[in-house]
Amino acid sequence: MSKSEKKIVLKSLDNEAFEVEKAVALQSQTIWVMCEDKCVGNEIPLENVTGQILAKVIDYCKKHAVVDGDGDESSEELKNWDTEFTKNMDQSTLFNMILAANYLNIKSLLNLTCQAVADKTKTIDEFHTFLNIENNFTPEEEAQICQENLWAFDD
Amino acid sequence: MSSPETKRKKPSFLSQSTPNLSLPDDLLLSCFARVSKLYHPYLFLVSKSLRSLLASPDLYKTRALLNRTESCLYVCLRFLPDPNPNPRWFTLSRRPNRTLTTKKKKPSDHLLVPFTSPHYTPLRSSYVAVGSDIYEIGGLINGVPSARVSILNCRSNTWHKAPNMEVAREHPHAIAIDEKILVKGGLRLQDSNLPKWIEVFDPKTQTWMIVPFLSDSKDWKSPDGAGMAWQSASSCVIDDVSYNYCEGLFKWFDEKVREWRILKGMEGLPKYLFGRNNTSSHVQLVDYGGKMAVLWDRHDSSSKSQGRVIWCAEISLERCNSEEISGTVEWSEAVLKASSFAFVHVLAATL
Repeated sequence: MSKSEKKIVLKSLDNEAFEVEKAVALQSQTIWVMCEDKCVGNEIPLENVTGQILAKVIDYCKKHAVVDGDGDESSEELKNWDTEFTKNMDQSTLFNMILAANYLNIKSLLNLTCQAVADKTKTIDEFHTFLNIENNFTPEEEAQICQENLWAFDD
Repeated sequence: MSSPETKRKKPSFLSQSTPNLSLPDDLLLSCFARVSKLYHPYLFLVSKSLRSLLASPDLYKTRALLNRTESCLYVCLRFLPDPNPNPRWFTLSRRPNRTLTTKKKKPSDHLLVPFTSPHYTPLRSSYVAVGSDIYEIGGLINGVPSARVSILNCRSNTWHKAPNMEVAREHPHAIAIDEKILVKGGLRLQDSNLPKWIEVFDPKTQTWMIVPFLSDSKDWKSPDGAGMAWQSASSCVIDDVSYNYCEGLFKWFDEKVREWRILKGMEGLPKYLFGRNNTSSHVQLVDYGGKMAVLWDRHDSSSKSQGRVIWCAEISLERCNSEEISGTVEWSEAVLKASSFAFVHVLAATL
């Protein structure tokens, strides 16, 4: 394999191009399949991912391509890195990351981002708004729920 | 009590403008499957759509795929004196870290949450959990032993009927072995002939079968060698080891030398539990997915009335060597304030 073949260009929805090592990009099963098909050249268009999100996805893949397969210490470090990675993501970034990880089929990133959403349940009010879940109980139902669930409000 | 709305402080997170983005159902499911069951009672209050998502079979399939199944503690209490003598069921849940208005005393993290599902619970039934179902077996209906069996589906917290046993039984000994339920004893005098002593229920085929009595089978023997003694509330079996609590001591049964040994560690439990004078009748031990849950009650010191408080502790067990098992208290908290009550049963289902 020549040197140029080790690199691959990923093009985002908004036409931002990212040149990355093949080993980094191939963590995405979707890209892997596209490369196998050989119907694409060295440039792969990703129609569902914006440049802003793709940049983050590539950060993640770079980190994981480097460290994977090393000893215990680095896996601990990787875990900490993952935590930091999602820690301060706002709702729209996190949701877009989930959608991107799902589209690109990067299982570990999908796990990480779904877990980050799940962890928000520990602060229920925030979670409520975080997911944009509409309270669709009728006023009567809500009154009954409050009556039956006094425990929830009795701090 | 102030209305719930006033306590819902808007988090700072909201102040930033977030576009109205939502996830498709399969991805939402993948997020919710990772949420501990301990938070479900709170999530059930959020919205109808979330409620149905959380009770859906798909959620539990996803949890199983992700290896996220958990043990969940169910507690049945009978309140006395109560005009309605029907016991009530509770599930252990965990309070989210909600942003509270300034309060000095932090409420406990864990609490017992009641759930309301219409069901008549007979006196002196026996309970056993198989997977996500809790079986209520036999018991007295209008003072007469019954063959009735009901199932509490712990996914939806609703009751439904299961096929009756072949014979009526009052407080039989019931255990789950290899996904089947083995029930023995508790027969009426006129039924107490051996061929009907034991029957087995297969949840897959939904059928009961009388099995011949095999006195030398390992499954029938109780660990203390006293024959078919009732499993008392203050004892439990965890990973084939029997534990009990008696007169202020937690012990485990060493099968090799056939004697009870003191369970080491257990630091963090209140001192009064270790006093010889402690009334042990209310201390419940239960297998909580390989750990031990201990429940007990205590006078509510914060009220002048006769109120009582139920406490719960989660204990992880470690075998140090062949002669020593040590318990580490992971948490120990007041989980419910109640008037006079009696424990009917405590057990863990897998969800």
